[in-house]
Amino acid sequence: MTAVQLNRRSFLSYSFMSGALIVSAPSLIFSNPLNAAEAEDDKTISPLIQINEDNSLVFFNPSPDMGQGVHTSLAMLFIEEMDADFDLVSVKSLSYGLRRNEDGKITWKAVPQFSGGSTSVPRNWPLLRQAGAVARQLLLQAGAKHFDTDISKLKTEKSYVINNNGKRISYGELARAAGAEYLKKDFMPELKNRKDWSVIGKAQKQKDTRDIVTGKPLYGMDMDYPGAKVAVMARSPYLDGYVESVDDTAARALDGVVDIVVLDRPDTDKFYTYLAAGIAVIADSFWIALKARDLLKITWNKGPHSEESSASLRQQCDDLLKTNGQIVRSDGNFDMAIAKADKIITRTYKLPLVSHAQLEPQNCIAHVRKDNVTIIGPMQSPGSASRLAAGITGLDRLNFDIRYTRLGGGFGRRLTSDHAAEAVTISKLSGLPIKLIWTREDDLSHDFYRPMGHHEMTAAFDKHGKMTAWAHRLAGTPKHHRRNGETPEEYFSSDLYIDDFPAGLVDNLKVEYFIAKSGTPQGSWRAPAHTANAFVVQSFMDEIADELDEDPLTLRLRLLGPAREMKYDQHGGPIYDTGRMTNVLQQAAKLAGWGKEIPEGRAQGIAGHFTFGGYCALVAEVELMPDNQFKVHKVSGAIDVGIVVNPAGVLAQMEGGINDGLSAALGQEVQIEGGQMINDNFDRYHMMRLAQSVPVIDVHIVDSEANPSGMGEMSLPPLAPAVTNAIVRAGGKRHRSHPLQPVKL
Amino acid sequence: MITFSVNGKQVNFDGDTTMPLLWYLREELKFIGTKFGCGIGSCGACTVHIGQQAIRSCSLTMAELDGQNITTIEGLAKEDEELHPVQQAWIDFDVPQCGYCQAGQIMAITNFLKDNPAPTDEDIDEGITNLCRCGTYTRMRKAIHHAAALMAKKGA
Ligand code: FES
Ligand code: FES
Repeated sequence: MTAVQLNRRSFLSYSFMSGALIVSAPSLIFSNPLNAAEAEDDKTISPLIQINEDNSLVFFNPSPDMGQGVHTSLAMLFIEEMDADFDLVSVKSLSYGLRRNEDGKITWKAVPQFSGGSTSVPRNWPLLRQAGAVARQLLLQAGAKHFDTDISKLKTEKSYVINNNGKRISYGELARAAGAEYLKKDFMPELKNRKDWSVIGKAQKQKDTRDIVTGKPLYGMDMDYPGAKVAVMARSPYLDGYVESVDDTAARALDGVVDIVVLDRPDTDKFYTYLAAGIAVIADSFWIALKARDLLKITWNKGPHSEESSASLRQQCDDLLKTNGQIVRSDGNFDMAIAKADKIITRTYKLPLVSHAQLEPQNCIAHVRKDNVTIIGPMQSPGSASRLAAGITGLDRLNFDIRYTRLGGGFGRRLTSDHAAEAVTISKLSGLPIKLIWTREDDLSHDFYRPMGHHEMTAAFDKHGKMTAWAHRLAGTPKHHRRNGETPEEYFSSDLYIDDFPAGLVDNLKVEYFIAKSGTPQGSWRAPAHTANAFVVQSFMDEIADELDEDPLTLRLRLLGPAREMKYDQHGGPIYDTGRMTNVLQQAAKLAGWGKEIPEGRAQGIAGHFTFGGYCALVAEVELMPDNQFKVHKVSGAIDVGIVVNPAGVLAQMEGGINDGLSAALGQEVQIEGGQMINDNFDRYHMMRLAQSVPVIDVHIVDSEANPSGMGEMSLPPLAPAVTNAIVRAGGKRHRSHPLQPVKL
Repeated sequence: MITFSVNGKQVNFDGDTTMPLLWYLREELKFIGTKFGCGIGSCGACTVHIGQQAIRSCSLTMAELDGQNITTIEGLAKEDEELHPVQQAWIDFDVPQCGYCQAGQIMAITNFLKDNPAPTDEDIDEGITNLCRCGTYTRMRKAIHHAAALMAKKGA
């Protein structure tokens, strides 16, 4: 067994209440795990597990599930160490909890409650396993008393404590007694050795599937709240525009309309609270609210960006690249290396703004009262919702009632809680509990888009084919635009991860950044800058291979060189291991039969990328079709995310990310005209359907000893370049921009 | 007065006949399994059965419902009864990710399989046009074939 050092944060408490043993993270810092009966009342309990007397279990999950499968994978961590029967577990969201620490600062009551950046599994990896081990210890102590024997004579298995004479008793039967146990002051939970795992590393089905396929209320959109009225907003269609005047007579006259309130424009020099100025119609039902919204006669002030268009943004980026930007990384002497080079290759790649388009449109319930706020909705970051609500209402957020639901897709859209801020503002202005519902048009035209940008790439080689210089120049709309407390000089860091491949592998390197100004909000879109940068770098790799007349896989392996650990200071670090990258490239190639015969008329393309601690390589098999069209028949991929918690979850995220990556590259592009987003529903904003999806996906999951990274984002970045590289190898044209199949409006 | 049935229960409606069925199902009857995704008949999240057809309920108004029999995801298998083979296949193949599209997918597919009891991949490409942002299509295709086989076995 491995002993773990407990840090002060991870202490737990436990008690028996209402027919169940509840092991909780405490609201107070204890010097040792304590019997909760001593120190807590039920209000301060943040339960992680509830062991019912009938031996069923409820795991309270601290990370919102948006389809990445954390309801299942995080439960697995706890249940493994508790040695419980995973089939007996159901999963609920942990209710949101905050506490004030000794310095008077507000912090998590139990554990961080947040989903984003593929952090849920790595963050909870030690904590939830330790917590599970504590639960097991309590049951063992109770079991020892029950059998009147020493703990050393007992073992546990699948929710039973078993005596060495073969007699057994269920966790459920021991729950009450375990709640009265005391842990020794110096108790240290010990974690299982990997060879003893029976839950982690075994494919587990998602816990919520039955509820999903039978249509149970799971999502924010499905929630009810006593007395809540429905609110629909008419938001400024112009970026940073606002209401100049409104005639709402007809709208107010409509039967069922309760109130109409005006939302001012949020400060244009600060980060957003809600996204846009506008008018909220509050009514008895969605349909009435929508009809009333159509009756509003609004004169909009067009705001400061009414000249902005997709074309003007592209022009701006082209112009910027002709100037000198901010050098954000410089190794060696790039200019000298270029002067000496035998071969210089330069290419430019262009990526558009993309919308999240999660299938559940934004929505949120809010109820502002004199002394408290309730927020119910789909949130990746309930913490940001609570902070925004505190700012809007001036109330202490310590006791806010915040309930995050399952999300009908997140992809970074609900890291920002503008929907919650908007709902809270409308509730405050009207004095009513409200359920805010966005239409699809609202959702696509008011989003924190994935940034657009033009990337100019240069690589130089000596006469032996050694790469001597590399430059990546990016002019784009920064994700950190308007971020509080961040200067423009820091903006680059959200769009260029300066330790990404091939940094450190080439002596002379220059990374240069230019800020393109735009009124469009920018945000995190599944695997943020990696989606753009992987497309750019991995397309460029193939163009280089072409110029050097080298096999694309051989070139990549040659540039990666021998296996070694490189410093990586951005999210996903501190290490980038070239050996792990090499391995996934080789494994994907092997799985795909790279260089071997494939069906007539098809060709393969390869790409690999490191995203937030995970290594993924993909080989796409593509056939050209008439009219510049193509069909992706198959993708073979290798993934290394360290120790795999749920192989079934990894597989699902591989498949999902691959199809999502294809969908994004094929037809998605946010179009701006006259300072407005114009393709605001799925008839004009094109998302892939089943017919274009990848019919066959083969996956090799690398068996690794490394600590786990997350898995929600890793498979998406390499997909687009693997496909476009395959298109070229099939005899098609080189795609240097997205969308690959643009849609004419 | 418009009279129709939802999941076997008769309902009478004398409200706004321009309202899409979707909102009646969700807000009045609380059959929230039928989802709102686009409101323009494009994504299929709101698919229900009307008689023998799969219909996108955001694009059908109350005026068009008189005498119709409507089934939503909640009515596909009765509580405590065996699930529909497509629902079961969805569990067996672990299809959903976020799950928001899946009720609509299942309603579209159960209907599709009635007309295509042994579909080819091309039939599926053509017949299933609902959107899934999470990209579960690859898994869906496998589960559709599996469900078709299950249903054939049952029917035999
Ligand atoms: S909501 Fe009806 S098709 Fe999208
Ligand atoms: S499972 Fe998320 S949209 Fe289909």
